[in-house]
Amino acid sequence: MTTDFADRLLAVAVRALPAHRRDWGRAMVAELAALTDRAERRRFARGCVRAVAFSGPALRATTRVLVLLALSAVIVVEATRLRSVGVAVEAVGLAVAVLGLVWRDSRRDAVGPVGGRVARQWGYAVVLATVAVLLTTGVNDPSGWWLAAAAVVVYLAALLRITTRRADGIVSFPLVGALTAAGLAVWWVPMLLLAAVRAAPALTFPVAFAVVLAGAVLGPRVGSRIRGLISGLVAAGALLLLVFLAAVVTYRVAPGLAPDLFGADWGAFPKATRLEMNSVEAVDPYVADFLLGALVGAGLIIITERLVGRTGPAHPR
Amino acid sequence: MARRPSAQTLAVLELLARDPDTPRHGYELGKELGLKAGTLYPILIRLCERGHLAASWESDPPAGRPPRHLYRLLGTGLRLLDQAREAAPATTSPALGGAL
Repeated sequence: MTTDFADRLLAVAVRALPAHRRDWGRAMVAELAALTDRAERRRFARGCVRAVAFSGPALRATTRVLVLLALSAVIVVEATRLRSVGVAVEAVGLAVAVLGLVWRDSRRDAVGPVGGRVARQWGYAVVLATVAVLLTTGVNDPSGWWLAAAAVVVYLAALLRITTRRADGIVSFPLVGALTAAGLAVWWVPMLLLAAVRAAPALTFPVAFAVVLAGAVLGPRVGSRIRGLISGLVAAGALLLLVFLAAVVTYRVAPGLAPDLFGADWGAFPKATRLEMNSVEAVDPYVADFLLGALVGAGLIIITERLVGRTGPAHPR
Repeated sequence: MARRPSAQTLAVLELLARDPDTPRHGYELGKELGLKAGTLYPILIRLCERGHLAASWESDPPAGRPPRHLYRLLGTGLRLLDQAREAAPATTSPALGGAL
């Protein structure tokens, strides 16, 4: 049997269909096979290409490619402006890892197909905000930047892993959202209002621990205590990352809130310099939250791997 | 409130409703309604995914040709058509060759 232009055109187009619509591609190919008139075959194939190109999934895929390309361009341009060559290389490496993971987002493997779509989109926004923060904070110091970049990759990998359809049974995203929001509010509001809270950044750790406990306690309401516990861990990881971002944003927007770590010793420096130094020092302790959150993320990858495996969904009871 | 189906969607439902027990294949539907594949397939996909149509594979295709998809109207599709008829009984689409 020979193939003509219509066959080749349709074969290319149906490859763009998402996995759950592959049958429609087969249906179009079968219809084409039943047509004999060459002009009619070409017309039919062109129509099918239009149907594929303007279907929701194909449009979303195109948008994602464009967003990823734009993001890559921004990161590469920003990285080339950095004073430290080492950090610039690490930033480009981070971009490659992040974009590679996002690119694989809908594949039917360890990171797909997507189950918690809304959670994944929120996660992307937070991870990209973290990349933006890293690219504009402390990037002239090469030491330790690689660790921050690796932590971002772990966060992203954990996000992809727990938002797969196969992980649906082991995480309750409404519970994760509620615990994360509650934990952030419990820490951030007092932090904004009280100098004593700002002077004790380690308070975030008991809050994160309480979130895990709350998840375990509320577990039976979302199916099981294990599901609640894992949801609590996910919320704790998200909370620790958000705490870091909140601290960075808070001290960048309102450097006057940063504890004055130097007192009279720095009296000779201009006020702007003191504020900047104070805000840089005030953010430092929260790097521990950022790294601890990544460790929680790594743990979650291992846990979900054990529970879900590579064969099917898990529903721990 | 659910959005009213398009004239083309209603035309597809109408055609299938004429003989609900006889499944039809896509090219045949497009030909009868004057709809190109680029218009017809998104409609068929949407109707199937919303449970208004059932798609099945041809059971006995001629030798050398793959089985085609056959479409059949389901009860919910018939109800959707009835609701659309009640909402706008006089609606017709000349562009569809009097299919409505």
